Amino acid sequence: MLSLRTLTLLSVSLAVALGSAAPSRAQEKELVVVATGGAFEQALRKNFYEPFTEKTGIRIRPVAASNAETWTKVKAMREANAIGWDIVTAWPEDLVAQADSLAKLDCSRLTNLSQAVDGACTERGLLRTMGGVSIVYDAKRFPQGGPQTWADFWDVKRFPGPRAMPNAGAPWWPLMAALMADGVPRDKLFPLDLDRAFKKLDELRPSIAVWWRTGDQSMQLLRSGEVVMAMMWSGSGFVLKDQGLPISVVWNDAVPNIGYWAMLKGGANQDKAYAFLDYYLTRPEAHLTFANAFKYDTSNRNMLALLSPEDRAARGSAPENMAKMAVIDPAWIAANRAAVIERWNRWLSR
Amino acid sequence: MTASLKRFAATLWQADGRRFPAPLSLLLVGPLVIGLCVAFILPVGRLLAVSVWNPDFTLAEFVHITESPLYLRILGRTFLLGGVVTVLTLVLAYPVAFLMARLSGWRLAVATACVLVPLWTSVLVRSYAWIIILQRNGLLNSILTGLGLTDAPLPLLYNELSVTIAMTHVLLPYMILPIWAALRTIPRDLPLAAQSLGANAVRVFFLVVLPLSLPGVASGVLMVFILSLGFYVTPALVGGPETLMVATLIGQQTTELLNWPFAGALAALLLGITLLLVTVFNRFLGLDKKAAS
Repeated sequence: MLSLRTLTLLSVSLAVALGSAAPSRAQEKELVVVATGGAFEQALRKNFYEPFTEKTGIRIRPVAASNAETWTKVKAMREANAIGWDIVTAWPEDLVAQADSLAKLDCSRLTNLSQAVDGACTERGLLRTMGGVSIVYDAKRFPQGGPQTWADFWDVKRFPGPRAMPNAGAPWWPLMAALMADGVPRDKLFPLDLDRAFKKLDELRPSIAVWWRTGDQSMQLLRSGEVVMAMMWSGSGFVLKDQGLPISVVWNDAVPNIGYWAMLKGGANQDKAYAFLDYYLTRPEAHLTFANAFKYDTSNRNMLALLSPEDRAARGSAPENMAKMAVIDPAWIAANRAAVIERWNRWLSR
Repeated sequence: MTASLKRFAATLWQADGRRFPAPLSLLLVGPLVIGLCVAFILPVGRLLAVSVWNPDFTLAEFVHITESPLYLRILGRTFLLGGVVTVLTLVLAYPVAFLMARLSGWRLAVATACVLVPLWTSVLVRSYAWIIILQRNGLLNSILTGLGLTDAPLPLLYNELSVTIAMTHVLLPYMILPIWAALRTIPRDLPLAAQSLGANAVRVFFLVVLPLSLPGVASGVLMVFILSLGFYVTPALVGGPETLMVATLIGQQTTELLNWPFAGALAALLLGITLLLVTVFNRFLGLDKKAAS
């Protein structure tokens, strides 16, 4: 049998060997791109990262982090003065709230910008994906036609049955829905009238069976019949539809759910980051493959042209659908986020 | 607390007289101590420190906690739920541990596996299992409506009931194991002696077995209670809005709002109250033991 001494020696040398075999940090040509991980990132990898590496020789290291994790780590990196990431995923309010951490984009360096929809390049973010937080309902339960507006969503007499709404870190979604249900026009929601919105939510609260926390949970609720309609991510709704469920996704009055690519200030690879962003704007077929798999459209202008007219009409990035969505004010959300979340928690946990 | 933990450790280890030499023991403990310092004590200490030094000494974060009706209510609810779950696990765990202490051979192996396999299964999996059982068209509701006991499905999921059930289930092994360990070390002669002196089974249990198992009960109660205070995943998955727990609030402040001073203040308050409760609990347990001896 091995003696204890030999065992100790063995384990120490093993530890040393493992330590020296660990990969050295920051390969020279590597670009670090942060997205939310999972199957979504797999598709980004296949349709964008790998072809980009093939064309330019610039390797991309994908990092998976939720939105919250992203900014927590960016904050920690800034405090340690060691920015290890180049490109991150940002929601509209992040572009304002995290402006200090983000580099200003020089849109003139994106030579392929004409291939993107109008307004894709903003001060600190390049439009990446587009969808909505929509009314998604079980069409089987409403053969005469389901809810088409937030007023319908609130109308428990005409459209009876339990509902679900999000409790997923962005309380302005249900608050915006409440204001629209109360008659506020979708382009005049901000600044949010919180008293009015919470009062309207009080009305519907007995019919809200579940406040979902993750996209997967919201899907399971409709799949299992726990609820008959939900305010949820359009992409999750379309995935259910693909699985053969009689699901309808309503673009009317949907809250836009937009993702941006943003560049971190102080990253060492800015030229390569611009090269990737510019490359992302090209190749409509790749955008279509990606969008078909993940049910979120991208910023590519020419992608829609590849679709049949019927298919096009269901898409979030179709101009007629975008025109029906609510208008958000990211600056207001960024400025009032903490207070709104605190009041939301207070209201919800009563 | 350390005394009961030590006793717990001693009961788990069947010391056979062999000992590691001191330097080797230090070498073995070293990585853990260093790891704890770097990965736990340092960051937690920093988070707690930033709640009062930001950058100068301030109590603003704590004032904010007391000014809003939200935080104290959620803290109270967290401790209440922790207490309820602890009592429930104790009531369920004691008979199981009692039975296990009387088993041996393959029966004991099967019983131990029944306790340990859930412990090794991810909390996520166990929480999802409860979703399947408790949901509107789930197992339990199908049985209830199928038997005609209820007309419509009962709201069993996404409320305090489901969180209590799921947390009790998840934490049960942490109560069973220390109680079992304590019961197992009670010499068999003692109950026999009591019986031979004329005590019936009930008296034997309450006068001999139960007092001797109290250290195990105390370890279990402390472990379950403290673990329940930090529960995060289960309330998020099977809970509803009324089961918002303080751990969720701390997480929200840390990762979503990036307000680390405030997160630190909430964490400090949770830690402070927990330590206070544990001290009080220990004091009472100490008195109990003196009275018994």
